[in-house]
Amino acid sequence: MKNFDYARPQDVQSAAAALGKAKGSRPKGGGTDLITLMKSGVLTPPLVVDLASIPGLSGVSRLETGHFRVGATTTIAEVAEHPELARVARVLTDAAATTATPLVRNRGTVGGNLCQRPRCWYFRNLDYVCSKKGGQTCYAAEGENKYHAIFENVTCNIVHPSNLAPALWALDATIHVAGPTGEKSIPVADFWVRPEEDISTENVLEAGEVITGVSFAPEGASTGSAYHEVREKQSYDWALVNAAVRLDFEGEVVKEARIVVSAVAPIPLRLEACEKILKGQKFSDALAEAAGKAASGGATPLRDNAYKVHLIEKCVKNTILDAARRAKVRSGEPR
Amino acid sequence: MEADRKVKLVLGFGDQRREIEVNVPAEDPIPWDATTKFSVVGTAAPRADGVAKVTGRAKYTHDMNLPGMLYGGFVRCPVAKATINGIDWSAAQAHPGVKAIHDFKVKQTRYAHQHLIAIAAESRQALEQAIALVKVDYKALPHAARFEQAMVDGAPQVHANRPNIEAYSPSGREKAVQEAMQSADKVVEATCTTQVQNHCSLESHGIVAHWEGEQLKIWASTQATFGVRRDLADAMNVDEANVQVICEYMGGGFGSKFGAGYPGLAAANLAKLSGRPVKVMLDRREEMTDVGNRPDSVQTMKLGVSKDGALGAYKVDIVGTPGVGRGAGARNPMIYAFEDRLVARTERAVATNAGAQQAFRAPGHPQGSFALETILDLAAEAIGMDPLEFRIKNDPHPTRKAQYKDGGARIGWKNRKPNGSEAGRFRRGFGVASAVWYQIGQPQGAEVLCRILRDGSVQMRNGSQDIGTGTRTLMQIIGAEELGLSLDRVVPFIGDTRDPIGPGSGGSVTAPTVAPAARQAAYLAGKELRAVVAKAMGASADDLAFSQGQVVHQKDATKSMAFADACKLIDQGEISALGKRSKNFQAFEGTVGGVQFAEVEVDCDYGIVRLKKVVALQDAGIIINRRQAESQLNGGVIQGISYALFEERVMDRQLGQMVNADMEMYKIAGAVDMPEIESVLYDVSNGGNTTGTAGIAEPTMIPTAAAIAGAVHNALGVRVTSLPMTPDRVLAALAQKEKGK
Repeated sequence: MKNFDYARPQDVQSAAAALGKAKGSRPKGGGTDLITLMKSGVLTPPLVVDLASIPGLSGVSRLETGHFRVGATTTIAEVAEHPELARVARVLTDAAATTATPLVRNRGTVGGNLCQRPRCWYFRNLDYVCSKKGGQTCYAAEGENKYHAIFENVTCNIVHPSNLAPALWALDATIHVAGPTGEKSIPVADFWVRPEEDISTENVLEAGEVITGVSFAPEGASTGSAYHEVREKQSYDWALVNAAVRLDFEGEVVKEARIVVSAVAPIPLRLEACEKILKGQKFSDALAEAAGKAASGGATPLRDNAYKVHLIEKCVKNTILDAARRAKVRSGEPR
Repeated sequence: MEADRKVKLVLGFGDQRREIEVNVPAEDPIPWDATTKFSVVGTAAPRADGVAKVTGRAKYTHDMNLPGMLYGGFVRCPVAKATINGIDWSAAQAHPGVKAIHDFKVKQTRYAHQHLIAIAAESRQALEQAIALVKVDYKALPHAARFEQAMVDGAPQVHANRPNIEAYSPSGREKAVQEAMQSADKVVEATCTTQVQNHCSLESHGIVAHWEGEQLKIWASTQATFGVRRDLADAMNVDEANVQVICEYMGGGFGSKFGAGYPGLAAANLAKLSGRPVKVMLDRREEMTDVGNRPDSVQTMKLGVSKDGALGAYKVDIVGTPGVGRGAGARNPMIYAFEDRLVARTERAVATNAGAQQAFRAPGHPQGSFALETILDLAAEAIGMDPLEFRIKNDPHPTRKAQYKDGGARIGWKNRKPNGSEAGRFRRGFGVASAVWYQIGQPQGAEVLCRILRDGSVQMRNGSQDIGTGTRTLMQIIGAEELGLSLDRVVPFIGDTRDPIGPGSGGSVTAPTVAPAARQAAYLAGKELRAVVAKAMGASADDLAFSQGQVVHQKDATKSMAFADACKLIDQGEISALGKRSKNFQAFEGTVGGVQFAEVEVDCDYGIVRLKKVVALQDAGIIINRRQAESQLNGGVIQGISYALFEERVMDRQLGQMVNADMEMYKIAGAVDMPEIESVLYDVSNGGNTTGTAGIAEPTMIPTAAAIAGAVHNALGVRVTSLPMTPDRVLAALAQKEKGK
């Protein structure tokens, strides 16, 4: 690991100022991803700014608007085990509970989960000067690509690694950011950056900017939400595909639907085509099936990951069914 | 000198008993058999070092920190094949903290991350900085890092002096097998593939080397202390008498840690050059790429079977890659256990530009078992016979015959439905597979020193190692049993080559090799003590025995005395006796048997195999320590599950690196992936040696993947013929079944 400076500022403004000074400096939440990347030499920040000691950056609170706010350094475990969040944002607590291992959940933070770097084994290997690291080639395109993208995989075949991201998008959350120029709020839908726009990053944060928290409206009484993650191992693994679904019902009719998938493209994807199939319709298993089928529309799988096309269809279908179960529109226990 | 004795022994288990007569050498005690009444042998004893391990008091090689110690590490070549034109380490040498550089003098690399030179520096940080300063001038050459790249015509040649494909001499009998196939009622065919598996020992390879003049002191994470001693004495040109190897504790080897290896050579050389102790511990990527693996395989089989379930002729072609090493044969020995088989076998090894294979827990067997049990299940299916019944009919082994029935009841085999009859998203299935192993210990393979001290405490000493299987505790138990003591009176010492010789821990050899030597040591020391006591009390030594902390006078109980009091009679301060390893004699069976059952639920939407339960039954000879034997069985099943469902080395076809050389993307089963494991030990009075001990470290891992594959087959009605059974492979099998409809 390269030598680096380390700062523990006591407020967000100092953190932003410190980060803005030296190019390539990195904020640190739990550090579970950052330290790994530094060890492998993929990241060599001159300065690491630890956000952990900033008061007020951690915890779940209710705002005057009635919205919930989750601080950036709130641990994944805290979110997973938060009883009130489980009532008003089940899709989020499900996603949090699914994350990694108890050890990582106890250390990893909400902000860090959103900003972690892709798990692509070419990106994480210093010997592969891939396009994301400033080279000319995406090695995944012709190489070993069973875990790579099946959508929007033209320039770069990474998949977005955050599992809280689709859940927060399903909640139409807002991401709060502080930086050298002050604070701003970004709808989660606008947070992501496609490789074609800037291959070196996955989100819109500029140097010196840090996430301070996320906020979202609580689910209503006639809303059901669910998060599913398909992975090889049930203990500590990365998603092959995942889906976050929020359904607002009027009786048995789907009034509003949010379907967001990830681990299938360089950024999380909202599937409006699937939402359209559900919206305004009386809920049925056949409807869920049809929406699931639509989830794979436009897929461009690589040599070794065509199975993910099948997985995303099934995953979306099953997550829709569970969201409907949560809203008591369909019987049975969510699985 | 006393004479040998002829004694009758009762061997076997349950209602299967057999009497044999054996010749017992004078220095040996009467062998344990089915009539022996034990006091501590066979109980669930705690590990002698359990507390030290869980409290961190146990010091592993990784924990060793000597005053002035340097850190050693490696400069490696990133590409799969290259000519090394030159290495410029001047900047590294000038770097603050760098104390020594050792050149392995490699001119041609043949796999990615091959080691070139070793550097020792004052700190880990200085070492990493120095490594980064070395300039390697290399010319990358076309490579064949993957199996299929090495197989094609015109493939880059891995070794300069031999072709990539090396055929072993075939078994012959092709024609006879072909003829026999023609008369078979049914002939089934299948091709199975298995993956390269990495050892993934929790403690990586590593050695600390410390020269004190001509004396070389070594701490090594090894499964062969004496092998390391020999390797380093040879390499450093010193007498073995001047080399001491210590391995009190070690974090796993699984076959990958037999010698000093290049990390050991690096540490010894760097320590010599610098005049300072040097620690070399590999990091995870080095562990994954440059110290061995289990070869992959493609096994193409054909089996004839009659309508009534009798096995016919068998033909198998095996291809596997040892990387740059040699030998990649999948072994499917179960077919030989089935009587009078007509087998034709061909085998090839394909060299690739990848790290060399090494021995790995039952080399060749798990891959062979996966394939063989596949063809057996397909044969049973083809004639409409229950696969368990099919095995009971064909397998002559007495222990396995009992285990098939016992295990079938435990897993609930009666709930098994015909293959593929389940519908819906979640489908249940049951599978069964078997193992064979051969180990009753090496004659002359070990010596154990037993010391009885004046205060009544006892030491049992052997210089080999406890790789986690519990050899240390085994010596303690045997000493306590033979001398009639409780475990706390016996202190075992293991892992220091200043103590008597012991085997390298390969082939499940350690327990059955060390146990009889330990028993003889305690027996001979006890015999001397009996003589001392007999003299003092004016009795005959033959009337004295050890039991429950007493030296018991068997004819006159009033003369009995406490063991501790007896030891006060030892004039010279202690009695010590060296126990040796006598020749093996006739055993109950030449082999030990194991059978495993799996119940799975397959999520057909996602192609995910979830295990509900595994029942593992294992013949383990006379069980010395029930707790550790069960732990061994559990460990084998856990590693087998991981092999069946998750583990797989992925080689990049472009630059030829292993792309998942970490514990994140090289996937190993975790706690949540584990089913209920019911481990059932078969106490078989085995004979063969004076303790009736048989080695079981390896067979416990052999049949797990095959049993799971059988269960998946039962659930889906289609065979997944490729390991690991990940969602992509399971979904592909389901799609193939749909297509076939």
